[in-house]
Amino acid sequence: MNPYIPVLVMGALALVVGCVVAYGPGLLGPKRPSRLKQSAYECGMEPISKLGRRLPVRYSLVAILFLLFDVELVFLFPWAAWWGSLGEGGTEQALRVLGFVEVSIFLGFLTVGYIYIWRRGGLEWD
Amino acid sequence: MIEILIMLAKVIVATLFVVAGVVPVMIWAERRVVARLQQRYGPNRCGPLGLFQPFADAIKLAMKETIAPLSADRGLYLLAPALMAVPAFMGMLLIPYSIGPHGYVTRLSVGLLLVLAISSVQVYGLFLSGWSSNSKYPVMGSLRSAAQMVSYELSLATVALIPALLAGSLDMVEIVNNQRGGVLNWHAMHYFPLGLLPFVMMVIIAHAETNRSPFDLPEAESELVGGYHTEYSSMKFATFFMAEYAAMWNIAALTVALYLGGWGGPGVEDLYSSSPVLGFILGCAYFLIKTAAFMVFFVWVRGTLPRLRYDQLMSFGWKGLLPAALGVTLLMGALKTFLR
Repeated sequence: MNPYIPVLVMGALALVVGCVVAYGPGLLGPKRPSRLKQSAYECGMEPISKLGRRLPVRYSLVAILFLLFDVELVFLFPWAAWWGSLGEGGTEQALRVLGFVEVSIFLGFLTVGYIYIWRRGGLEWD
Repeated sequence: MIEILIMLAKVIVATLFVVAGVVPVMIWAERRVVARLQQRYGPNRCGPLGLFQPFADAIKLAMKETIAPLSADRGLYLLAPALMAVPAFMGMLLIPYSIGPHGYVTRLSVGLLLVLAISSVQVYGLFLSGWSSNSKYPVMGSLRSAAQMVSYELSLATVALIPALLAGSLDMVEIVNNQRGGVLNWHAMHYFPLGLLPFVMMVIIAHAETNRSPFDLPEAESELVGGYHTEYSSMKFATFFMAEYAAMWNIAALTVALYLGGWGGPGVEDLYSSSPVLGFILGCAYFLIKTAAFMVFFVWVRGTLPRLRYDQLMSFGWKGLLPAALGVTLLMGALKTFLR
């Protein structure tokens, strides 16, 4: 059997259970909507300002940095998985050292970028 | 045919175990343990030791009116709780819980990647819930928690990579099997005491990823009311809590599988060779005990540590954990290359 079938089955089951839990009981409770109940939460007052969709620019910086480092991580995963396929011999040891040196160089480049981000204040929160 | 039935049974048991087993027990246990830590009694009226408290809570919440703000973005607002629940309830998909061919729901050669991928989907539910509420506190809460989870996810992926490196495989079953044969073979004990470094980081990240105290900024009651789920009521509100407890269990199970030997413990393999059923049950028991201990640790930390400030949280994640995690990865790679 294809090992991905349980992934789909479990996803479907989790979706069903999640929907039943989240939406099912909505049919049980009373329904007496009123303007006050349906207003946005503001400590009991009418919200005076509409929420504009303007966000601190910090958050988009976090998103960009996350993308950068996440892509970098994707390159490390094959390196980790690759060890299992190597045997014990001398050539294999040479390959291991080569792999390690390559990853070191890769992370070295990354560190330069990381230091640049840090020095330019990309990681500061005010 | 039999194969499909066994698969279905495993999937159903694994899902319902989290939804109907872990979640109610954790709701009860968290309140009891925190009460003990704060020298109170905690729930003790519903049934023996207050054991029926979660069910009382669930029935009460289910009978409540569902209120949605008029300003909400209707479709996304309704979608968010389910989006949060689905990845959380799928958590046991790839974690090996016992010995033998029936000790896991499924095994994939890219298992660890899929575990990380599923757990990261939760950020969407969390962010959309606040965003679609279109109300101040939820938007702020969801922005904060999305940034927090995304930042710590980097360190999580790095630290989760180290056991894969030590085992030489991304298959969760292989990773657990690599830790067979006693405590000293656990990945947390590899290259003692260096293996403890990524393990401790993993424990810290587990708290940040599940928005638990001391990293529970998204829910900081004193500043953000309730954070991203302020505008949710009735069982939609409860769904977020269920998803959070399920996510705690998932990350605890992942930590146990990656660093604490999974189902491994004294006597499992001997018992399995003489009686597969008993060995299987003993393996399950060890797995459950380890994961449950981790869950109690979550509560203990919550009862002990004060909340961080948001800038402390972010600078700890970006300037402390991330470079440390990358450094430890490189160190482990070097040890594995040259020490053998």
